[in-house]
Amino acid sequence: MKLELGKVFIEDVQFGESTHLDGRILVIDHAELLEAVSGDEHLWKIRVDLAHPGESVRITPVKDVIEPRVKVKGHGGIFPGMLSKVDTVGNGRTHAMKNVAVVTAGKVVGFQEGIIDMSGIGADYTPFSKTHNVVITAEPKAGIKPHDHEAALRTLGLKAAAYLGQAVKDVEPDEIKTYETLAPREAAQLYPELPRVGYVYMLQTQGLLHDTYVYGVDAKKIVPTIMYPTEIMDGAIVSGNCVSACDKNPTYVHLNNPIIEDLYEEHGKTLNFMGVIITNENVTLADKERSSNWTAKLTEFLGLDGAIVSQEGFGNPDTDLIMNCRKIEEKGIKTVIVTDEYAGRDGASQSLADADPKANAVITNGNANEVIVLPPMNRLIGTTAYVDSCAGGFDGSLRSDGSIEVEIQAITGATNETGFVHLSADAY
Amino acid sequence: MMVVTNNPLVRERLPEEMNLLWVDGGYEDVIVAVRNRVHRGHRLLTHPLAGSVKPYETPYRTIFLSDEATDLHHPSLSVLEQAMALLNAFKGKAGGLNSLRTYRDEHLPDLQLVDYGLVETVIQQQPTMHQSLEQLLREE
Repeated sequence: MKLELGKVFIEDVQFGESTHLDGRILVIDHAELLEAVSGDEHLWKIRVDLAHPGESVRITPVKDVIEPRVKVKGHGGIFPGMLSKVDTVGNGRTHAMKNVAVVTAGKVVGFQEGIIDMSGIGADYTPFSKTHNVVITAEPKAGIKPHDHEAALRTLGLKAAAYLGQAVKDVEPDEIKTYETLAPREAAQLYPELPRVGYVYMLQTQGLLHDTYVYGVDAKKIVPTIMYPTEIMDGAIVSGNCVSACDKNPTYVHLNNPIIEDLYEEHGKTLNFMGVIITNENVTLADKERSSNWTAKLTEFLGLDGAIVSQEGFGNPDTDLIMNCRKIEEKGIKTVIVTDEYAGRDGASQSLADADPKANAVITNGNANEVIVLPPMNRLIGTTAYVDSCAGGFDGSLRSDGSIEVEIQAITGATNETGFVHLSADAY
Repeated sequence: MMVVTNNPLVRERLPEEMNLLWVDGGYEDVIVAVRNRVHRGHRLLTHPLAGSVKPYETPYRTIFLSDEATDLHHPSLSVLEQAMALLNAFKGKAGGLNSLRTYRDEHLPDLQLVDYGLVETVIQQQPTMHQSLEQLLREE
């Protein structure tokens, strides 16, 4: 499976007459965008705002962030099973609109979260302060159930990203990168001297506001399976996860997963990247046992020497993470886990809810309980009415001058467990 | 299957054939009630912690246990003790989870719905599935 990913770098986004590229400026026809995303029976008032890097703008509560992409050659279309048919994607050519993101925002249930500040200290904690954001907020019709509201908002975001992606379909990309993964037999022969490494990609799958979709299938209903990494670059995995802003994987992160990027970068140099095993994070212990058994089985099936396991979220998924690690290690396969920490505001408490001596190679993406003060912003997209009650907020978080004292877990992407973050460690 | 909960929505929607253990209290009271059952030989069927929703972000918790009590099931105890340790780590200086509380009373119906959403798939499974879950545990 081979995918050419063409990147088109955008320097500004503006509203204008028709949706097109004017040099490096994306011009959006406001009415046409609304037309492209509207039609859902559950929503009535849809609003589109622009937010640029460096502006004094706060966006909250954020639901999903999505990169506009378009399929240029090859099977299927972007976001298979959600917007496009269920053809197997990941081959041919896809164009990605870089430096631009669709952000969906709005209230689904009473407790809400997800803050993106486009400037100030908060901007340092979210990767989505560096993108030109096309922010879509939508009011639900009266009486709509939260399940339907979440689904409608999720689809709205995907439609907007697919619509904007069309603008780079016939454009010659600034950069083309080719990613190729062979079937296991050929792949193993390709670099026989290099260690065979796979990626175990854990997906949050716990119910309302905690779900992830694979080719349109609710991932809590799958058993772990193998994917070509390029399928994921074409939107085969989509986020329906609105919980825990700092360490959920927005669709943008699925599309741009840095572990997959880095494994491809090292492919043929220091390792042989064999593919991705996706697995879920379910509620029952029997599901956790079954899925981790299958994950370990598939690492063996692929003949791996090493595995990288990334988590999504916190709490009972810590147990999935540790089960995966222990069972893969027991197959004799060296395992590295990638997670984040809830170690209390002083950082002194135990970081994960589970542990095992076999988890002896751990990468952390930061302590989600760390407290910061976000300065007031001149413009607000969405509402701060929920800041006190968002994850990481507390009574009194929102101060009268508009500044917010919160744990960084309230910030979208602050401690993302695939490493799609700006935080790093200092040695003293 | 025994359902330990303090969530009124779970109580309202629970099928009749499932055994309800109602806890009139908070998140920690549910965990303690479950721990007491595990000490008596009941086994955990669902993880005591929620996914991503922290113990101070909701007052509601629903946990499934085996109806049958046997000898002390060490894996259940171990998972539970880890959850208790985490709960204690989140307590403020005053010793209560409330010092970090982030929810408001007007959000309680939504928080009930989210807790119910976590266990909805288990509740909706056919009674035969519940039996087989317990059967699987007995045969371990």
